[in-house]
Amino acid sequence: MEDYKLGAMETRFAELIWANAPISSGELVKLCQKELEWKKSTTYTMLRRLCQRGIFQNQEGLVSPLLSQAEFHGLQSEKFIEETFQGSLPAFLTAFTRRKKLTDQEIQALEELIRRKGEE
Amino acid sequence: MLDTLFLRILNMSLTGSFVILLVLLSRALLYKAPKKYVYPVWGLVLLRLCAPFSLESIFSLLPSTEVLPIELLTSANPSDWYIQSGFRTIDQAVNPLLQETSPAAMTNHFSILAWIWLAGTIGMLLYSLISLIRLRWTLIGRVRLQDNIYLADHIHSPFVLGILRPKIYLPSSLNETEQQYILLHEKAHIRHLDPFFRAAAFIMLSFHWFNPLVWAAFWLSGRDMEMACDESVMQQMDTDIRRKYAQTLLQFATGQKITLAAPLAFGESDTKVRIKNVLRYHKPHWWMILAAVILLLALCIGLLTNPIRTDQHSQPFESHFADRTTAVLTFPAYQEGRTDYNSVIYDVEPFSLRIDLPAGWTAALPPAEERDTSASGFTPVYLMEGSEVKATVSFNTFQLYEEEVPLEDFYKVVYAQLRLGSLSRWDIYTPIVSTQTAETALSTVFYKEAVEGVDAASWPEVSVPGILSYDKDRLVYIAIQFADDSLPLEELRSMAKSISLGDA
Repeated sequence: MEDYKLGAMETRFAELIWANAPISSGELVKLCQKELEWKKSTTYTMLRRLCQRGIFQNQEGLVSPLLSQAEFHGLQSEKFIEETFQGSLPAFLTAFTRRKKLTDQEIQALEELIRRKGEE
Repeated sequence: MLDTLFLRILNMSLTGSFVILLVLLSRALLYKAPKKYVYPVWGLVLLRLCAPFSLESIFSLLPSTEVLPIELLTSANPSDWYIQSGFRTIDQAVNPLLQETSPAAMTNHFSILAWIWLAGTIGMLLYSLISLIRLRWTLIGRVRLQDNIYLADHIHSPFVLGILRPKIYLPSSLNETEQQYILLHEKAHIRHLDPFFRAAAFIMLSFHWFNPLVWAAFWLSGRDMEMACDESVMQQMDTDIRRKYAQTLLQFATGQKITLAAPLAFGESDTKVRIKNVLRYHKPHWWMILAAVILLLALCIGLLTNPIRTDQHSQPFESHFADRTTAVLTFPAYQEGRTDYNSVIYDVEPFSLRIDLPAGWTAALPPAEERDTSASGFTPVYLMEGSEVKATVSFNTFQLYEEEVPLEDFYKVVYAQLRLGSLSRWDIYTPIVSTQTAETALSTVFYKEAVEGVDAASWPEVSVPGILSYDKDRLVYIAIQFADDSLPLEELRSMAKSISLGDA
């Protein structure tokens, strides 16, 4: 799999696709022209790049996601924790909560998440 | 044609080198001054490297603007070759070596060098073109922020790209404050027309790639350009913003590329010096500004004008042999030697001979008892070096034949008597200066040296150099016979070139 780092502009583009998928490539071109002022060739090139990284696919002029936005963010987070905390989630949470207190709601949500995961 | 172009480029490069050295000197002197006043001086270098100037003035600081004359290519005769660097010692050292080169070697070597130069220039221009294409490929997903400012992923530092409608590209990962400072800086670049000048500088570098001074100039002017922009930003901000600005500069210190890669876009260069400059900045005093402006003007005049050339441009050896004197002799020089048979010649309309004499030579009339006809003509005049007679100048008249004689053979008509003499004959004729009505040439005098007690027929034959010059309108000629062979060939040619016959 390719790396999951997207530049700020690439992210904007990806978000456009996710918000409007599935979308014909022609429609996408028009959309990008309006939102990003991109030429047709620019849009196609950027699309090809994201397809090569396995995030979207372009089949016969129809653009659809291979990874949903949530899945993609999940992969990004996983990569981040792998690189920064040697894959240790507790280490990440420790670092995170050192700076930010968790609200009661967040604690509840976490507990619920752990419980569900434990059941899988 | 390539050879001529290359010669011109070489001349411009040599002149440019001198300009660069002077600019470096002024830069060192203006060390404390804001870079804003130093940076424009580089424009002079740019001009000198590409534009052939013809404005001459006495204020020119340049020793020479045409070190390599066109004769190196146009003449197949090695004795026509010379350089005029403006420095006597250099010329004197190089010219003799030049004239010993064979014409074949000269053209061959020069052509090879010209082709190498062309290859280098094309190589550099291609490299910049490819870099530009690659840069634009990187910028494909860019998105406009506002006006001509764009955000782009995958670029490591901000830059300006484009000459006609320059666009500012910022890395998409900048925060607000960073963006603010950077924009001030990049906008200053656009205001100063830096994209244009940088591109022009790189083109000049491509044409002068063989000259290390030009590389130095390119690099240093790039640094001055950045610092001038920093100063521009400083002027618009308060003093404690300086520290924050310096911090931002530091941030982009890592991951910088050499600015050669994409000459139309420029990143940030030599951060340490720039940070120092920023922290040290204060508004300049009015007298500093005045001094800088005066210096700039002086440099403009001094470096953009050419040195005054001597009137007789076709006399290359004047500049590097010691000061010569121009002698003006009138012929007939005196009346002694007149007889009934030659009075027609003595009655000819007096005319003048102008000639440049070598250093230390003077022209003098012979003492009364020695005034007589000579073997080569009438009223001989001595050319002396101290008390030694080095040459004799005499004159004679000639007549035209009825039939037309082709110009290249005309001298035979003029000098018939000299060429057919028995005890003394002139032979080997090499024209130096030719017009429709006059010609000056080098020649050789063969004569039999008198030996006491020996039959004239057995006298040994010696030869000495001679100079002949005729004037078809006046129907007169002068003949100079030298006493010995001591004068170098270039001097003889130089004397011959300087000869002109005119009214008394």
